[in-house]
Amino acid sequence: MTCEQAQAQFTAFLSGEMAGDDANDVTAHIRQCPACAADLESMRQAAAALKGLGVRAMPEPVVSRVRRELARHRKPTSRPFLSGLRVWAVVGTVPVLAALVVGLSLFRQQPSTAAEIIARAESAMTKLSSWHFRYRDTRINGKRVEVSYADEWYRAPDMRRQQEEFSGTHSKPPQVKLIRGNEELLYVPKQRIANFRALTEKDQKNEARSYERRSLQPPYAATQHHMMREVRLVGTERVLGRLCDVITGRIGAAFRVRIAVDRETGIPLRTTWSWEHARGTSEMVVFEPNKKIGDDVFQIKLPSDVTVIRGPVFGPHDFHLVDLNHLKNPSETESHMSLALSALTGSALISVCEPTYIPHGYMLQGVFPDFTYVKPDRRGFSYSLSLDIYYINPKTSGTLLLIQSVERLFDGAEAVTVHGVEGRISSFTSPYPYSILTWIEGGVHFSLIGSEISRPELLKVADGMKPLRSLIPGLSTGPTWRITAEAVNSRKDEYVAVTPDAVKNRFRSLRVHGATVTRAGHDHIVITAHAKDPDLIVRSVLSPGFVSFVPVTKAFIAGRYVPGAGALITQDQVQFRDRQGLRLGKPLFLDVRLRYSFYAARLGKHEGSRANDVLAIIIDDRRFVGRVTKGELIRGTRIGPIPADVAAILETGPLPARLKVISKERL
Amino acid sequence: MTDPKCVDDANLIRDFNQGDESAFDTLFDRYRDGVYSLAYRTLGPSGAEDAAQDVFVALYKSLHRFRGDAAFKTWLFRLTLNVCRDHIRRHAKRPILFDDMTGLESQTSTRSAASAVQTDVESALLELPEDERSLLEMHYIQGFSHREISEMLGCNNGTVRTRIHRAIIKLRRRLLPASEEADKP
Repeated sequence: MTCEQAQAQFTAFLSGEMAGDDANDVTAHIRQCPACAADLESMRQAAAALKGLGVRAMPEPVVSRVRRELARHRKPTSRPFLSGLRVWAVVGTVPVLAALVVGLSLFRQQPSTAAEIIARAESAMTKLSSWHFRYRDTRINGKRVEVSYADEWYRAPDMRRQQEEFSGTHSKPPQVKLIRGNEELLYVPKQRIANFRALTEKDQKNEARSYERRSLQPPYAATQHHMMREVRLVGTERVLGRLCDVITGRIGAAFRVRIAVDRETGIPLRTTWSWEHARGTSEMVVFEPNKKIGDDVFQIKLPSDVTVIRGPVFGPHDFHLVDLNHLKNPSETESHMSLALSALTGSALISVCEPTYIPHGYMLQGVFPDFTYVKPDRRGFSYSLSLDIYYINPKTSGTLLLIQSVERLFDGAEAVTVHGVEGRISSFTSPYPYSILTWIEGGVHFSLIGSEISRPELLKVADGMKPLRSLIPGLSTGPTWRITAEAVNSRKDEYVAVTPDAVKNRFRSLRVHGATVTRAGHDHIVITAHAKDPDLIVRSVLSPGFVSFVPVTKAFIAGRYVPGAGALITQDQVQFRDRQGLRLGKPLFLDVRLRYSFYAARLGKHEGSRANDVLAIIIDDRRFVGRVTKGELIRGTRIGPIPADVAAILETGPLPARLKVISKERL
Repeated sequence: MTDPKCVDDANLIRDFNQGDESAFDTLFDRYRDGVYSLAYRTLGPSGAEDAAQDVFVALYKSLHRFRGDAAFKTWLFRLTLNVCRDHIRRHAKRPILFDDMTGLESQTSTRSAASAVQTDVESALLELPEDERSLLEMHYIQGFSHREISEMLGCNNGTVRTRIHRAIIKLRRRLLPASEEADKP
């Protein structure tokens, strides 16, 4: 028995699942081969460590929750009824009958269930002929943030105007969105237009939507009903003099929502949310349903410093899995695909491929560039961006999904050859027959998943893959991308904050091990998070005062450990001190800028790329502005020697002025 | 009266299908930790709760369809795996919500109570792809044999063995640096 043969049997050997003769062969081999013996021992230790973890008990709150959920699904059976009869016999018929009558009448007095109220809230807007409302934006712990208010006018069937104004020291001109039919006009202040134009359409959608996200305005909260758990109707209250049903629920583990829903229209008039230490309230201060709204509302005199962006109406969930419009309108699908591909190539900088062969009967269903894979680990979250292209066969219900990613999503059992490189393929029968083919090419991990498609067909699709384009010649072979987060002097409005969308779209992989403050000033502070992985550095430059989502999980901010800072940093949590340790007071603004970094240490072909000798290239959108810690830059790239000011990016000291120039061309 | 804990799965399923709801409660108590554990290791803490709930609701609705071709435990864990896969797909397609950002803290606090070694192993496990995590969980922690897992996944025994082998090697690689580092002062 060779070493390779023996090692292949170790798993079965350790678990005692080998036939006697085979086990004897392995035993004989490890007796004479110290290397294999050591290998087996280390594997035994790993297996023992795994077993030591034990089965993870379901926490009691989860047990209770599942029991409650099961109770909801339980059908009435004879058992409770019989139990009731026994009770009836004990207490007598009259009181029980009276209780039943009272109970039924109380039940009838309830307007509806919480789920019905939420469902009604979601569809309410479509039933109204018009509305005008103004709401105050979120207050967090009593303090107003970012958007001071938003006005919205709507007149059926398709006229809608939304205006948002901003408050605080960073007061900005109003941003107005006007929807006429299928066209959307977005009036953006000039000072923001450069940033906005740099966005892809996808990003523009997210940008426009991000204000809704951050403020969690009531309609948005209502549309989250399908994600809400433990929904309860808790009572009624009056908002703006209108009778509202109050429902509570939670989204995810910690985000709790309380919504007051107008009984007449179903519009949520007040939303209170709490999350960890933060609490916020969004409240409507003007609500006029079915009001006559004149044309003048939709004829806006624009300020001189705004620019109009025209584009298609952005649906609320257009990036979700199934969009039937894709099937109805092939040209739109093509447009989506093109945009999606450009979005991916523009931000992910990997060589994107598209299939040139698709099995007969299959048609493009959609392209999704925002596949986000959230993998919690002890150091942080990992996000991987990939491009998913879906095809379906309407006749057979067969599906074909092509995932192009920088992280391996699947593995396969059997070796095959794709494009001359090794691939892996697995077939499954549950929950339905499907096969997964994976291979790595040009640094990109491809996964091709097909149901109702034979293996030869799947391989034929794979063989037909052609590169769409490669933006960065020579770098498209990099298997791993890392990202650094950075924000500089946001008072000049050069950057946007890191919103969950931005995290989703921009972050590739982030594993933060710890963080220290490397620089602090009156208008910014730099946090450098050191990853255990030596070639990963995460920096965040924080300027006072803005609520942001900073994916730094263990941040020491000004020497103070802030648990959970990776999730949310509020102005109350951040304390700034200057270099002399003097406290600078409450932060006014906090912003984070993202930069993509590519670390050549991951290329593998560049030797010596270790801890203190990391070769790094920072890629700013489509240009290199990178740095190296030692020596010259990587061969085969377009980069020359790194300018000293850029090389200083990750060093303690004043910010290089050049960064500001670069930043203006991005978000 | 027979202690429900001593009743085997087949009898509990028969009782449930004949209208005895308490039989399902017994099944739930019997398998809730195993199902949660597999979901936890596959999806992480934030997804495990929802997945475990979905598994038992699905089980409640579909138990009458269980024909006894395979062991109930195998059938239930196959259902769990399917639910987990479904969660992964759905999660991948939805926008990041605030809870995605908050899951880590609870996870961290949970881990702080565990031993350092277990934390390292747990962390290393979480770094593996989901399908490998679930394989290791099923084989080494839940004690399923290669054959049982192959029944669940619908592939042959050799494939399962190979995939587990590959997964444990990956885990071992991740554990080595951690253990070395733990030795440092």
